[in-house]
Amino acid sequence: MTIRLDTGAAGAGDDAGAVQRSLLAPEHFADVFERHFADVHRYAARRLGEAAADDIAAETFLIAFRRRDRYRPDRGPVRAWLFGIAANLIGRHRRAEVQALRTWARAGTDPVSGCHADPVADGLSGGLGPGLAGVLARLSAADREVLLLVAWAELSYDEVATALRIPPGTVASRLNRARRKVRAALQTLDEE
Amino acid sequence: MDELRAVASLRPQPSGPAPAAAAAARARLDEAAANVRGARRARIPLRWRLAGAGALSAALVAGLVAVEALQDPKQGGPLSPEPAAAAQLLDRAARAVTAQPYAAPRPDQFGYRDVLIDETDSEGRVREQARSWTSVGDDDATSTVCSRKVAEPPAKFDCAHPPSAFEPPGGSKPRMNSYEYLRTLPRDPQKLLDALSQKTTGIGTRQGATLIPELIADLVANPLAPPDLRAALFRAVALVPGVVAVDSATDAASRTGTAAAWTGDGMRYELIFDRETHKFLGYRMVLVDPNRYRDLTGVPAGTAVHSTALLAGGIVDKSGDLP
Repeated sequence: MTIRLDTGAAGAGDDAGAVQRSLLAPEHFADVFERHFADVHRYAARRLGEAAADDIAAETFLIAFRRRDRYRPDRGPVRAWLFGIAANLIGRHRRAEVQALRTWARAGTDPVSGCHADPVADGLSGGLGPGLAGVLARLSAADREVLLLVAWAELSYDEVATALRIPPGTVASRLNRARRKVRAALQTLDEE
Repeated sequence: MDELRAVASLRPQPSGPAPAAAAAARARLDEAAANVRGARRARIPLRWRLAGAGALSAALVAGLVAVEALQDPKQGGPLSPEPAAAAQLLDRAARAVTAQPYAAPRPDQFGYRDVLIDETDSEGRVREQARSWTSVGDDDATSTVCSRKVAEPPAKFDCAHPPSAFEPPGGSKPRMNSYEYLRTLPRDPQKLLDALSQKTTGIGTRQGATLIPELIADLVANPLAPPDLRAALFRAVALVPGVVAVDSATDAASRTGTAAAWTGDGMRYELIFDRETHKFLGYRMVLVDPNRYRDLTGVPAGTAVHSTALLAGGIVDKSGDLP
């Protein structure tokens, strides 16, 4: 599992305060940007590539800024709210994302990360990447979003629920379904 | 292999945005923020004000009040030739408030107040009246706020329990608008000023002493504020650099008195007192620099853009009772 190195968690205690202060002193929203921009960008880049991530991450913070009066601290942390906005923007590129995953599955080359053999981190053997890409491509958009927010953005169930504005029970059921499909594929790939 | 770990290791973790991309995104955000900044007054929504006792202090806890930095006194111009006049006025007000008989309220009692609020901006003028009963024991279920538009014939009061929007983040107690909190605020004027300023640290604070005029006006009108706290608030205002006495100021109920005033951010803030009894009558904000606030476009300098009148206040036994 990768370790999040940035400051997303550190100092997050005042995120809600920064959003609220920005209602009357908009410059305070810069604090939110500084704490979370890199994280949001990395997530978007991992889903769709660097070029798309530049637009999506920038747009995420502009939208968040415009809607900052609607942020409610009691509904979840700022970080989850931001990932929800980003997820929505990423969702607009669904066809491109699925296309890239299919290409990876078929051709063995990931058009997004540019990796020929997929990473072997954590002992994932070189041959599993295309197979897993195929599974991700076949997941429903909703299941894929939940799975990747957990696996890539490292959001908790509650944070995913906040981000996607769905009940925690729905997060759990979508994640279980996605995991089941990934597990089945891993077993098949292991046997091959 | 665990399927989540497998997915997590799929695709390398990107190294993060290129500095140029981050800078471009930050520039877009700053531009959006700059277009908003200065566009509107730092103000509390009327519905919050109408919630009466302590709504403003609660709003402050929620981070919704911008600090009004005190500016060079020369900018507003001293309004009384005698610099000690303001200190004298505030001292009289402090002595008047502590001269009243007072018994600490019980937790099952309520702080009652009846206020008029008069607001003017580019779109016109709104006058409302609010009566609130705030639980001494900080019990939202029994606190009540009633408000109505001031109209002819008089409109009916619309009553509700205070909205949960006043909950500070985390909901920690004692809340800043509660009797328990007000009881523990320092009574030394300078320490009180420091404590109030500290509450605002990081909220647009600029150089020099900072103060929130509206917070002070809210606290002095709070029926749950003990007399010695109100006296300390008046003496704290006397410490504000540039505070002057204004010979004649009118509150939202058209009552005229004398005021202690100070200027900052294009606005003059006035605490108005009865000439004879030195009782606190109300508060107003008079526009000094009409170009400073976009939502006050077309409103001439000298207009009272926000004024209040404290019509009644006190401690009562039941929600709905009058003192």
